[in-house]
Amino acid sequence: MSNQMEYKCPACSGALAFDSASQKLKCPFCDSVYNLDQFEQQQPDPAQQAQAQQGEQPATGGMNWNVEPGSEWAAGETDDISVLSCNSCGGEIVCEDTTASATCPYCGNPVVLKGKLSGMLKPDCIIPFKLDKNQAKEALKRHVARKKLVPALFKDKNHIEEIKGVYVPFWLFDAQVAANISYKGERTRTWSDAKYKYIEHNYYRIYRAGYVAFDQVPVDGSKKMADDLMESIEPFDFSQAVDFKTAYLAGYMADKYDVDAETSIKTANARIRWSTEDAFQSTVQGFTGVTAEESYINLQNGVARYALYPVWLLNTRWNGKDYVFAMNGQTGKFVGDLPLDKKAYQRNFAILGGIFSIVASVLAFLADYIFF
Amino acid sequence: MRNKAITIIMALLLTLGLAAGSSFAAEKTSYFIDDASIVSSETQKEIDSRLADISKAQKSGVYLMTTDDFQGMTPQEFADFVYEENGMGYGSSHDGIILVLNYDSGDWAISTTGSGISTYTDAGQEYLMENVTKDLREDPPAAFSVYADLCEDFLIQAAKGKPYDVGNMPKDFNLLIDIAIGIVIGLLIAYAIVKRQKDALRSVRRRVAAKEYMRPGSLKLTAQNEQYLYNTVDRIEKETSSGGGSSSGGSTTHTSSSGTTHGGSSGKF
Repeated sequence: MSNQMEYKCPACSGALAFDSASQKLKCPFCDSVYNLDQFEQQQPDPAQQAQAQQGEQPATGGMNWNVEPGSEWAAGETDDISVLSCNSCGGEIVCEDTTASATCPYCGNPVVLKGKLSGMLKPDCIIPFKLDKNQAKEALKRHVARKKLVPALFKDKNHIEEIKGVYVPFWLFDAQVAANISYKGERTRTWSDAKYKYIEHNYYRIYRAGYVAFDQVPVDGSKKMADDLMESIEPFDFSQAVDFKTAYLAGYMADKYDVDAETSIKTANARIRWSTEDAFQSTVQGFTGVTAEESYINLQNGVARYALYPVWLLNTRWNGKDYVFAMNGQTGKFVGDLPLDKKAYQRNFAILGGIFSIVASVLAFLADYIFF
Repeated sequence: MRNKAITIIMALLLTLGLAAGSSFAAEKTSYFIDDASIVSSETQKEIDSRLADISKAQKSGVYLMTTDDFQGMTPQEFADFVYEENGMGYGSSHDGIILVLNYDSGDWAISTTGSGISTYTDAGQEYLMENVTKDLREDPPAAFSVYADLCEDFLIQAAKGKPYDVGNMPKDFNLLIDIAIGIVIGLLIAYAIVKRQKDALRSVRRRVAAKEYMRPGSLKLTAQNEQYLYNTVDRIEKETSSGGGSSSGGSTTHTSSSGTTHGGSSGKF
């Protein structure tokens, strides 16, 4: 789900858009450029609205999470924000009032005005778009061009104009982790006498306890946004995140979260647990066949935050199937599954199979002649 | 003095006569004795003729016998006995080989004599029988033909001064097998390549780890120890290089009841 905002150019009254290159608001009609602060000052004092959401969310997974992400909007801050709804997939898009005719970034179908923004917290922070639409177009071309089994018609077909910049809601989890893990490992010693070779297997119980910290582990907060797609464009560089200002939404869509932080904790916990076990196991040196036997992992002082991350999205349809591509709007990492040209697959297999069969047969014959 | 001269001449004549008789015996003896009636008389003649041709050309007897009865002897003893009793072999040292097949008990035995001992080494006999026994039941004429061909090959090789032995065995070129291996390997390589190309179309995957978000230097161990539990010891016997004659090459020999030295081997088919 997404929302969109509009700022008027003081010079020509045109709709300003956030320019990822200059990180400022730019008027596409008269090329005037404005700092974000000039417009944020017109907004009510954010301090007035910063009422923390407290006491809502119990911890999950036995971990001690302090989940208080997001804040209330200031009065008037959402006046220019509308929520558009897709009748096809049910997605909700937050955007400027003027973009009522937009298409859904998830399924490509037209969206209709649903109403004013409500039921959504103000994000704690945002990573502004660093890459523009043209760079996304180039990334798509490179992504497709390198793949040999993509149907030629799919490569030729131009869907580039349908790329949309979307701020995707992410829950970010910081965590101090205490771990207490036992492993079983083996050390071997070999020796021999005149008749026998001996291999001695010595088994040990290996114990490790300690702490490790994780910062800003992201979990996608949108049901409509495929989790695997969002995880595939990770990582984002959180050091470039800034405090949220509605001006950053200008010219882009924003997804409205519909998965709350408590629900997302499970995903974060699983990833943190996996990496904690992996990190602790890496401290077990000098053993072979190391396997974890008992693992106690506790999160201490886990904190969640609500952030918007920049994503370029493209939807296209090929032979009755939807294909969604995504580009990290900060790093440029581009992902998306591509259709398979089955004929090209079979042709390549036949050609390569023929060539390598001939080469391997000659080599087999030579090996037969030389060594046997 | 005269008597002594006559005695020497008589002895020489007797020796020559015996030698001639021996050679004659070799030429008169059948090269293929089919006592078990495994093949038709026509095939028997063809095989006998083929073995005779090889024997005469190479000056070394190549004999084959089928039987249903070893007459209470071991396979090896029977093979030696037949060879000696029939005066087989060429020249004064009775060079040659005989393969005896008992179609009743499924035993086979080889006996080599004279230069046949060095021509058909232990490793050579093993190779020979690996190839011959394949068809002994299903297609005896084909197996006998293989025996003849291989014996000829062994004799030609021995004439070059380097008999087939360990490290110098016949090269088995089987083009069809080479091509089949090549096709399988080629298709596997091709599959690996196109699979990689196909996998490259998929770039969307779930992440199970959060390694990128681990704070650098934050991993601190507060306790670490290793406790010995138990051990097990595997004992593996070393391979010995001084095993049988076949591994070191050459021919092992034995002496028959008549005192003649033979090479040979026996087995089942």
